[in-house]
Amino acid sequence: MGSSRTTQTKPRVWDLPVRVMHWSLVSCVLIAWLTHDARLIDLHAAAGYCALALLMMRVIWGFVGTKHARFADFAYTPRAALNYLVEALRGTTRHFTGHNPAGSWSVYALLLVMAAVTLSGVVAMAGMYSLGSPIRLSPADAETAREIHLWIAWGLLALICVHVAGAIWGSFVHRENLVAAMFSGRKTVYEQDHAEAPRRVGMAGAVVAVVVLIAASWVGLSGWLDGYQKHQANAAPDKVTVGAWEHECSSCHLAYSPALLPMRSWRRMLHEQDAHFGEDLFLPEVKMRELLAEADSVAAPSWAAWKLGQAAAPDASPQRISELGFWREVHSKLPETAYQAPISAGRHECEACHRDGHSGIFHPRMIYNPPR
Amino acid sequence: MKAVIGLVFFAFVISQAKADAVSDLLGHYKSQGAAQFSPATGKAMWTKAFIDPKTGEKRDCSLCHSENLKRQGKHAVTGKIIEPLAPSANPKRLTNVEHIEKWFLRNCKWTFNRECSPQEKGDFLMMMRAQ
Repeated sequence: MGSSRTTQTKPRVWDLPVRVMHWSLVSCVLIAWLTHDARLIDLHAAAGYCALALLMMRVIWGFVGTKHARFADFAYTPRAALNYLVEALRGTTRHFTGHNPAGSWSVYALLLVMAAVTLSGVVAMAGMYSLGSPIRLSPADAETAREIHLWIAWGLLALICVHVAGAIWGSFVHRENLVAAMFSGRKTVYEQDHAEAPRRVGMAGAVVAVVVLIAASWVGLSGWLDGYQKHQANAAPDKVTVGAWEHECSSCHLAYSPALLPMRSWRRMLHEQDAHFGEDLFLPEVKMRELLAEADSVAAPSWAAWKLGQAAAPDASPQRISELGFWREVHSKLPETAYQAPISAGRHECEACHRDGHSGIFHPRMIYNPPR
Repeated sequence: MKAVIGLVFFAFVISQAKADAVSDLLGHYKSQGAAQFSPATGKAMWTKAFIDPKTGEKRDCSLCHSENLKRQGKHAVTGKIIEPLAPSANPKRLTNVEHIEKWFLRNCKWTFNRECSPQEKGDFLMMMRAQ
């Protein structure tokens, strides 16, 4: 790498696979960012699978690709990157044909963080929704995985900001559009001995990249890796309990999974059973004990159910599931008409939209199309 | 063959036991002082509106159970579908003494703001059975 300004040419520095992979990754991150809603989990996962496939291809291309695509071309030490930044701050920057030392570290960081975000996403999705891989986690562990995934995603956003800022800064300093260069592949070169990347190798790499991308999208969208197929095929998943709970509750309304409220809420509800949402239940003491014992024996059937059960303040014993913070958060985009006829009889009627309301699972795939 | 006869006999006993729930209750209500039961009185009471003192709402039996007992009803508050009350449309109805008494207690309280008398309950049962 040098700054010998003898001749100035504009050959293709970034080969076709590098450019295809770069903008595909940009698209994947953008799609994933816009589809973080649980209902769009399939699209979100497809974007993630594509990103993972792209990352793997980029790493392979880093060893077998054309000159400036190879890691060996931008294998700078952290010290070199630091020196480059110090020089940059002093206003004396050297021009590099490929990645500069600081830019190379942004590439490494982006590759690593994107790998972390996709892999943590795979774990979180499996834990939360039993989707995408055979990994199964307890709801509490799934929540941890979700939080880790979220934090890494924020970290990725920060890194992208740095990367974009660097590209814009470099464009100004060297008076060339680096963003356009990532589209055309053409970059200013001051070296005399620069050889243009062979186009045939580039075309082959790009074709492989596109084929792998299509395969990854298919894996994500078809649910090929899902452990949820069995559940999906079953329109009426298992009921919460088949004992007194189902018998007593479901005469008037859905037998809500006991996991949706903390035990102290159920104790209070049975204690105040003579004023149960305007009705006197006349439950005998024996029946109350039976109901509480049953409720206590039921583990949260899913991450969503667990999250609701955790949503109550420690000193509160809420009586309405629809007043819990998490419930309101996940239903915040719904219009008021969702809680009116003909769609539902109110916020209590989970099964109006959740086909698996009986099971207490509340899987995103089991939601009917939302009302307009 | 023996097994088949046994099974038929068992089914017969079960069906008799079920059919007896209403007769048992009617006898029980009579012992509590009820006179002759009248399906017509039951029918009239079915659609008679009462005002709930707490909410000021109009309430009657058909609000949740529909006027036609052979049809499904809908819980007035939760919207939950309630299966038909008429045994001709829903053979499971009127087969369990405990169940009948539980819901007379709950629903009379909710609709009329008081418990039903043995006479009223008998009238209702006659009316339902006739459907």
